[in-house]
Amino acid sequence: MELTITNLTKEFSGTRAVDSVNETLTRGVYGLLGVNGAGKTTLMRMLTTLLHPSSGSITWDGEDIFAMEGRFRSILGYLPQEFGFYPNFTVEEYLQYIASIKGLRPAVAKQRVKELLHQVGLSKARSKKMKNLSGGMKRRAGIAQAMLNDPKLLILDEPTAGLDPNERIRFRNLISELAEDRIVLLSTHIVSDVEYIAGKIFLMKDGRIAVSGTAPELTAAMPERVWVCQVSKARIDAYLKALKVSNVKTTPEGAELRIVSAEQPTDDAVQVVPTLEDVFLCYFGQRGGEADAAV
Amino acid sequence: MLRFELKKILGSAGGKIAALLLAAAVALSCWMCVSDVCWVNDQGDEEIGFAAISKLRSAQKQWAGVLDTPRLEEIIRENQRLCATPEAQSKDYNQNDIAYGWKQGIRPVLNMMNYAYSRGFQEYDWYCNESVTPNQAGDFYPNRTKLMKAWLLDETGSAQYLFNENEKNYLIEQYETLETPFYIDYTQGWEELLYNSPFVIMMAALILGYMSSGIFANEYRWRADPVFFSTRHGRDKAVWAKIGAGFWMVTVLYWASVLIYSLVTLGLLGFDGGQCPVQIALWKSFYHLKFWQAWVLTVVGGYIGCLFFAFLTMWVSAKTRSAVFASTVPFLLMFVPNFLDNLNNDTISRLLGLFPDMLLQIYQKLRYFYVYDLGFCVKGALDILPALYIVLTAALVPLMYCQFRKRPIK
Ligand SMILES: Nc1ncnc2c1ncn2[C@@H]1O[C@H](COP(=O)(O)OP(=O)(O)OP(=O)(O)O)[C@@H](O)[C@H]1O
Ligand SMILES: [Mg+2]
Repeated sequence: MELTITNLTKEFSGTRAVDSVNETLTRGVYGLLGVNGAGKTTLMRMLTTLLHPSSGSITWDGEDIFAMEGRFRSILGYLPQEFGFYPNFTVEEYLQYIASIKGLRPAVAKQRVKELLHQVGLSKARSKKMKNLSGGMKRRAGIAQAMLNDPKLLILDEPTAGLDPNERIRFRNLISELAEDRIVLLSTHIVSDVEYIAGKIFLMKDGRIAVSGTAPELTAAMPERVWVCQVSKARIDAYLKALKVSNVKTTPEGAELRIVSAEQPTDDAVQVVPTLEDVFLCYFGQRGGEADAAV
Repeated sequence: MLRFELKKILGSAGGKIAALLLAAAVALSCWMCVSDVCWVNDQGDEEIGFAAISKLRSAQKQWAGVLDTPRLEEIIRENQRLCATPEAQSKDYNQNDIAYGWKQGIRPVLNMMNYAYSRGFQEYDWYCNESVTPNQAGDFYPNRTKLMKAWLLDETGSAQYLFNENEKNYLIEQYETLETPFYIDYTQGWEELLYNSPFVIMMAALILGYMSSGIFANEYRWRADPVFFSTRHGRDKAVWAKIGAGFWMVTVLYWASVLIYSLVTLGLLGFDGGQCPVQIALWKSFYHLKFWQAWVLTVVGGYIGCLFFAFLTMWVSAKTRSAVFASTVPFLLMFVPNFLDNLNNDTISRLLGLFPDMLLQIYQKLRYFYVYDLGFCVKGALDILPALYIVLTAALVPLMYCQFRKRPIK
């Protein structure tokens, strides 16, 4: 079980959406973290054989995945970023259909659909039309769909986007649960999504993997330091403009700022232990994720 | 897989509406057939409905049999007798209608006489039959060939430029070898059935074409394509299932429509006359067909046509990824030939005989002189079309398969 990516590059009319990526993935959960347009989806589409690389190669246990054709797809589970489905199918029909095109035998499919409906918490909604599901339920149906063939390689493109905080937590737990004995690659632009469940995290920027490692490795290797300091109300804006501020906490006197910087920003600034959020800010110059992501 | 593919098409609101429309088209055409048949009663008034049908049937049944010279003489004398009545001679239209009513039993023969004793091949005179005398009865069948030849071989006529020698010879031979005398019977059921068949078949082609347009394209519209193509069979069996769904949908819905239409129409109007030659209704047709054979040709041709329309639509939808764009294909295939025909260009008009819309209206086209010299033999368009479009339809299968499975995702 080894997915090897070598010099993988994808160009779209001159721009490099994915630029010379080299990584080897073995059993475990991997987080692909990057801002919008970093190239996460493009990379994943190549890994799912939907898109041909401009150059470079992807191999599964040493075999080119494009040459493997159906054999590769039979070990693949994929939840696309824009997850589409058949509006008039019920959840159960939808899963049965996907099971059939994944080549599951009908008896096996039936059992598997039942198990997964239970696992993703959709047993009660099994007879609902797909179009009538809530956003969170659709995502869960999407995960179930990807898991039908018990894939060795599970690729989830922003599976938590647009979910509320509770759903997000449930989702994370679900993914941890499903991660046994397979490679899971999960993309997101929300740090907390991968902070705890991913063994290894790739920070992707402008098509390149800027840096990779476990969460502690990444924080330890951070090239800048993290400071906390008090500033008066009047100066908050100036700080926000000039420095990478990862958090603003208003206080009666003004605000307490959390700043990522190589130099000590003010004389009273105190150095603190960095978090993955700080790492993200350090590399991307912007905060990771949405306001509701901090759960 | 097939079951789910069919559900994707028929489960949507559009699919259901389309299927209902098709059912409505079938019902409407049955009704058109029945309401077309009218009986003029002794008061000269028109009646329609089942009573009218049965009266017309028994009137024409009286003359059923071999239409040979003695029988023609008899019919001509009967016609002369009826034309001489005060009602027929009257200046009052209502009186004329009463006389018309008496002639309903021999009306089909009188119609043929209007062609047979016409002054020219391309002329038609509604009253021509009234001046035919019994001693001309023997000319009835020979005149058909004579008039055609005169038109075809006229040095100054338009036919000169339309056909080459082989084609002319073929047409003459077809005319000369037509089996005579005809066996005649009440054929209203078959005539109506066939006359209105293009409506049912064209509606089926449009509706089934529309329903096929989404089979490939909706995968993109629903954004279900990334999952579809990344599954084990997403680039082989599942694509075949889509093509299979198109095939079975067209097959089942087409034959259901056409068989229901045919059985209901013939059930109401009568199955009689299937053994009679189509020349009773289409005097000039050069095809040697009985009514039942014309029906088989019409519905089988219609089926091939519908399948071709559906597969072409599917191929276009796989290529363009747009169901909306693809669903215009059936309309274009149907209306572009009409437009081209209006250009009045002889070469284009002749080629139109090989366009797929012909297959949807075979009975209408039986009377046209679409003949083609293939080098080794000469064939009528309707001899060529079914085979030609079976090949073209079959050729579309691998084309759309490759088109859809190879499509990279945006
Ligand atoms: N089909 C395409 N044609 C042209 N450019 C493309 C295409 N797909 C992606 N790109 C470009 O490639 C870059 C990377 O896009 P990609 O969708 O991979 O980013 P992403 O990291 O998934 O972003 P997001 O977080 O918004 O999903 C972008 O600049 C995008 O505009
Ligand atoms: Mg993306």
